[in-house]
Amino acid sequence: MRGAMAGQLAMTLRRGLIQSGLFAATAACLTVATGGVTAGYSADAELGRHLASECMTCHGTAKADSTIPNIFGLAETHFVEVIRAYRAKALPNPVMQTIASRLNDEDIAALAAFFATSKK
Amino acid sequence: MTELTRRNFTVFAGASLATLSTSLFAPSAFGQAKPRLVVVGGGPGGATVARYVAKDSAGAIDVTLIEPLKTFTTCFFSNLYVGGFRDLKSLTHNYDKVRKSGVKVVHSMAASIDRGKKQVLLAGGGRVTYDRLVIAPGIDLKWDSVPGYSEAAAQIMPHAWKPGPQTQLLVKKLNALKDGDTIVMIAPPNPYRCPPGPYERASMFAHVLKKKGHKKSKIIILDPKPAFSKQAVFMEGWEKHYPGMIEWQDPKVHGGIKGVDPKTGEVKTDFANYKAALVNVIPAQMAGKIARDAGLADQSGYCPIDPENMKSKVDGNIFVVGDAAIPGDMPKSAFAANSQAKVAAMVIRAELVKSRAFPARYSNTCWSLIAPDDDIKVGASYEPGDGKIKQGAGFISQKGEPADIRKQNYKESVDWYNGIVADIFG
Repeated sequence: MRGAMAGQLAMTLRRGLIQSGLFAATAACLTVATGGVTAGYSADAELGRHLASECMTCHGTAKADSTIPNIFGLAETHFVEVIRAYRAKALPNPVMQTIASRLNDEDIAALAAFFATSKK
Repeated sequence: MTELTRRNFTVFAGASLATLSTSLFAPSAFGQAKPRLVVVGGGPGGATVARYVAKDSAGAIDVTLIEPLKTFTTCFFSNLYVGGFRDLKSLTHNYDKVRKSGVKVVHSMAASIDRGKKQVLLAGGGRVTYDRLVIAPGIDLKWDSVPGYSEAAAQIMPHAWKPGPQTQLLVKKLNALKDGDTIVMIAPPNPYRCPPGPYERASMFAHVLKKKGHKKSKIIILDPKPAFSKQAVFMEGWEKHYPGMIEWQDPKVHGGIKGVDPKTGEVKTDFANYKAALVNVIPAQMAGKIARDAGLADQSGYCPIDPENMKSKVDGNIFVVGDAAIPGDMPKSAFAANSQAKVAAMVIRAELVKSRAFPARYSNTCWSLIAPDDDIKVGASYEPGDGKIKQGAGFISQKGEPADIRKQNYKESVDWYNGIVADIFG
């Protein structure tokens, strides 16, 4: 189920990128940037838990058919990809664009580690 | 010092003996008191603080939530009840899971605060001592802000700005309307709970009347404000879905709201008298009484807070979250209260058990339904700045958006509702 969710999110990511015409350029950036995050930051567990409280307002009860996806158990690389895409406004939802706009790479890495290892 | 009186004991009679011995006997007896957090008000702000402190401190902080009601009906989404999209049961939540997260829930009215002794006095007798206190009483209505209106008049001209019987009365009156009847809504002045709320409600009135086949009924909104939240998209939606049915009047149009007469159903403005079958008066608002009585509010009627931590500017042991606070650029909403509560909970844990503190960050989104599958939204992130909670990045729905985006917004709002009530009540 979690793998399916991750796939769904990644698909959503790609669809958003294609729709916005930024797929090719952004995909290249993401590959580089994602590697940078995982290599450059060791996730701060306390920071991740703290920042995740903001996500819980909407994502805490997400189900398979929710418009707000389940992000628990999502692979870190996918999580980083998606949040960075929202930050770059390459994915369309303005709620997530706004949330992501103030997350720096350390924040995103901490959140990715938290949700990859946490259960609802 | 922890007071152990018969009244205290009655208050906590529902708690287990083991819990009692920990919370009341042990601290004073052995000087190993757990720090005590008391929260007044079990809505989106109060219940969130209580639950987050309890679960994140894993029992290291003694958390008591004082809330008179055994179930809480959310004000947010109550317009969807008005529109027939939800029933009240689906908007009503209990405190069972709040208890399971380690919070002592006391169903009593908090009558007053003795800030000198750091105690909350309960209406039924008894007192609860705190090291830190969170006040989240929501709003009170300024009955006299509309001449002729009163608490008694609300039984004839419902405000329905606090959920429950008032909302049921409003719906009963709405459903009794005949084609050709007039609804007059008196909108509130800023600042008030749920800025888009009156206009979503007018949309829901129109939806119900349209569904019933009304052709001649009118909804007149008399507004003391020159503009309102999401105005352009609301007005576009009204023209699209309910052409000619909703008339919004700003002060330049009505000239001033002179008063209401509950006996005749009349509403008077400077330029006209209206005879309405349904009058929905949403008066001006202020912080809940307990906050004002404790001296936490300023001349505005609301409570100034430190934007770094949601602490009262009057008393450093007290936090004010939700609609009672002066939230800077943030609106008064459940989302905002929930967000403020998490900042307060983080700071309270840092102060009481030395957990790690982080810079305050806030966020908000408000969804509003105009018609079935036509939902609009506004939102922003916020941080301390310029001595207030200052808006950062934000967004608002635009005119002319495709129907699929508006439909998606509605689905998103429903998922958000499920998420936030679980975040608040467990």
